[in-house]
Amino acid sequence: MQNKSSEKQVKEWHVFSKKTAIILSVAIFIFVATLAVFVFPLNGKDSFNISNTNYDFFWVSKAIKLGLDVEGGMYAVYEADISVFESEEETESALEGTMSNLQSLLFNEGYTEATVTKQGRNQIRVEVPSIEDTEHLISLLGEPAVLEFKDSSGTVVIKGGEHLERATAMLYEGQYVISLKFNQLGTEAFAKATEANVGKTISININGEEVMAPTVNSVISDGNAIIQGNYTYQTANDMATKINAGTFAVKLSPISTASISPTLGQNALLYSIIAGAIGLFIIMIFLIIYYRGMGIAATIALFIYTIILMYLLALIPWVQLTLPSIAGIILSIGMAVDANVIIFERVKEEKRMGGLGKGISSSIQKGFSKGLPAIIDGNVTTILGSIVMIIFGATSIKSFGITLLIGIILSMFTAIIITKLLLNILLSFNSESEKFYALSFKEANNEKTK
Amino acid sequence: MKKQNSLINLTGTKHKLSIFKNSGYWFILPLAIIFVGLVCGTIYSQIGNRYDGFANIGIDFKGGSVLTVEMNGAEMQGNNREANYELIASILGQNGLSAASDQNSGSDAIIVRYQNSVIGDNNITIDYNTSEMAEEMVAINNTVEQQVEDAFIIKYGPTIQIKANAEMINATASSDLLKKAALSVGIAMLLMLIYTAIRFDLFSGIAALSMQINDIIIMLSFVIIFRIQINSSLIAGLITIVAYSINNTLLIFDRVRDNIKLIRTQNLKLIPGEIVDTSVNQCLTRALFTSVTTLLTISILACMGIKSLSDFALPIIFGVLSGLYSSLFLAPSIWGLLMIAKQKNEIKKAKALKAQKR
Repeated sequence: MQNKSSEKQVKEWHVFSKKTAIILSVAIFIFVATLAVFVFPLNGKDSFNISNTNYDFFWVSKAIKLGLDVEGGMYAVYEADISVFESEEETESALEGTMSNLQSLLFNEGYTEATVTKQGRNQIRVEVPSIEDTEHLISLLGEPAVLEFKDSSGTVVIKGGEHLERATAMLYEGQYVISLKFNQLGTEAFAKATEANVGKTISININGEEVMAPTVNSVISDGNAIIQGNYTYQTANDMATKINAGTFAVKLSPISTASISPTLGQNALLYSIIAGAIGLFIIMIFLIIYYRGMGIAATIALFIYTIILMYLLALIPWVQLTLPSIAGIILSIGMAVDANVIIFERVKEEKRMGGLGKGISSSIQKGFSKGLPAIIDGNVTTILGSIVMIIFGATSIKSFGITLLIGIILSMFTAIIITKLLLNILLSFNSESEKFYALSFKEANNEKTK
Repeated sequence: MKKQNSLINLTGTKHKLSIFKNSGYWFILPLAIIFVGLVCGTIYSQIGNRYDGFANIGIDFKGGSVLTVEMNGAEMQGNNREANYELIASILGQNGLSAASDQNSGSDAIIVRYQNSVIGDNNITIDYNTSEMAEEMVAINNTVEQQVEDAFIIKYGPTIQIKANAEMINATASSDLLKKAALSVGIAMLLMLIYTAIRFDLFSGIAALSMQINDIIIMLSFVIIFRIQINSSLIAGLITIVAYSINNTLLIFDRVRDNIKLIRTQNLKLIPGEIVDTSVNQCLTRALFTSVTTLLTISILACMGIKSLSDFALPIIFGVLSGLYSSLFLAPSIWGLLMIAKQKNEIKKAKALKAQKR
C-alpha cells in the first residue's frame, strides 16, 4: 500500500486506481455469485445435463450434518429379562451396567449424541440421531459385551458370563481398587489360573480389547481378587461397571423400533434459519442507514461471510448442527457486525477529531488500525473459550465450540480484510463525499447521535 | 498544550452517562434481581402451591414420562397431526399433566413427553418423580393410555387400531455432561482471566471475570423467576453468554487502555473516575448497537412460536441484557474502585516510606 499519509496531507489518495477497483469488484462479484449459487437448491434437482451426460453434485446446504434435536433419527426400546434377578437392587445395578455398556458401545460406533435411558421397570430406551436403518441399530446393540481373562500365552482362563459374580469399586489400604468376586465355578477356575501364572500377568479383556493387565502376586483360592492401579473412585467405579456389564447376561430383546422426528419439533431448524435471515436483513438495513457508504461495504462483507460460513460448516468434518451450534452461529454473526461497528466508530472519531484537515481515506485507514487491538483481544478470549470447550466439553458443547470457533475466525477475517478491501474499492470511486460515508460533522452538537 | 487540558477535552467525548460517580448504585439492580430470584425459588419450593420445586427442572435432568400413540386405519400424522396432538395434550391436561415436547415416530405414531408433575385439586402440584410415588405415576400413566385410546376411537370410529403406551423414563442428560460442562466453562474462564490480565491489567481481568459470573447468576435468577425449563439447551445458552459477555467488557477496557496511554503521554494525573466515564461514553454507541443487533436475532428466534426455541432464546435474551448492563456499569465501576484502592495503598506506602526515612 502506498500509505505515505501525513497529518498535513489534504488531498485524498487511494489504495487502488479506478481501473484496478473495477477489475477487483467484478472479480469479487463473480466469485461470490458462483459460491452463492451452489449453497441453496434452485430447482431441487441434484444433477445437470451437458450433452447427454448427467453430472451429479451436492448442494452445499444439504451436506451439513444435523443433530438429533434438529434432524431426528431412530429409537429402540429393549426389554431386559429381569426374572433371573432376586432383589430390586440387583436388577437396578444390572440394568445400569447394561445401559453404560450400551452407551459406550454407541459412542465407539461414532454415535456420540445417542441417549440411553431406563424406561418403566425393565426397559431400556435408546435414541440415536442420523441413523436410518433399523437392522443396523439392532445388530449394533443386540450383542452383549464379552469379558475374558487371558493368561500371558493368550489362553482364556475366565469367562465373564460364566465365572464372575460381580465387580465393585472399594477403598483398600488407602487406595481405590476394583474388587472382583467370583462364583463357585469361577473361584475354582481362578485358583487354578493364578497358581499357574504367579509372577506373570493375566489380562482382562472386554469385547476382545485389553482393558488392563494386572500381575498375579499369589495364588488366589477364596474367590476374591483385587485389581490395583492408580484409580480414583470415579475410574475404579467406571471400570467396575464395565466389567459388570460384561458379566451379566441381561437378555435384551427389542420390543419396538421406529424413526423419530426432531426432538425440538418439526420446523425448529427451518424457523431458526428464517430468524437468522430476518435478523441479518434488518442488521444490514440498519448498517446502511446509519453508516451509509461504510455500511454498504459491511453489508456486502456480511453477505460474503454468510456464504463462506455455509461452505465451512459443510466441509469441516466435526460439525454437527444442533441447537447449541445454531446459537454459536447467531453469536458469531453478531460478532461479525460488532467488529465492523467498532471500526466504523473509530473512523468517525478519527474524522471528527482530525478536524477539517483530515481526509476520509486517511480517517478510514486510521480507524481500521485503531480498532484492530480491540477486535483481536475480544475475539482471542472467545477463541480461547471455544478451544477449551472443544477439548474438555461433552459432545453437545463440543459442537457448539466448533461452530463458534469457525464463526469467530471467519468474522474477524471478513471484518478486517474483506470490509477493508471493499471500502478501498469504494474509495477509489468516491473519496470526496463526506455525506456518502456518513462522516460530516459540521454541527458541533451532532457528534454523537445515537 | 495547556494545563487545564483534561482527558475529556483530549478525546472530545460528550459525557452522557456518569458511571463512576454512581458506582455504588449500579450494584443495586443485579442484587435485587438475585434476591427476587431467591425469594421466588423459595416460594416455589414450598409444598402446596402449583409449582413443584425451586426451579423448573426438565425431563433431561429429572426424568419424566414418554407417551407413544400409534394408530392404524386413520391418518396419525400429515393433515390430522395438529388435531391429534391437541387431543392428546387435552387429555394430559385433564390429568394435570402438561406436554413438554412432541415428535413424530415412524409413519403412524406421535411421541409426547411430559414431566411427572401433576397439578391436582386446588392447583397444588405434586412431584411424582420419587421412587415412593412411582407406582402412583404408573397408575396415572395407565389412566392416560386408556383415555387416549378411548378418545381416538370416539374421534375416528371403532374401525381404527389404536395403541397408547405411556412409560416413565429416567433422566437422559447424565451428571457426566454437567460435570464436563462446568469443567470446560471453568477452564475457559480462567484462561480468559489470564489473557485479560496479560493484555490489559489484572484489575480488568478480575472485573471481566466477575462480570461473567454475574451474568450467569442473573440469567439463572430469571430462569428461576419465570420458571423456564432447565434442560440441555439452557446449558448451551449459559455457555453462549459466557463467551459473549466478556467481549463487551473488553471493548470498554480497550478504551481504558488507550486513555491511560494518552494520559501518560500528556503527563496528566490519572483519575480513575474520569478514565472510566470517558471510556464508557466512547463505547456507548457501539455497545448499544452490538447488543441490539444480537438481541434482534435472538428475539426473532424467541417469537417464532416454537416452544423449544423460545425456551432456548429467552435465557439468552436475559443474558445479553445483563451482559450489556454489566459491561457498561459494573465492570468499569469495579475497575475504578480497585484502581482507587491501589492508589490509596500506594500513597500510604509512600508516606510510610517517608516516615521511615525520617
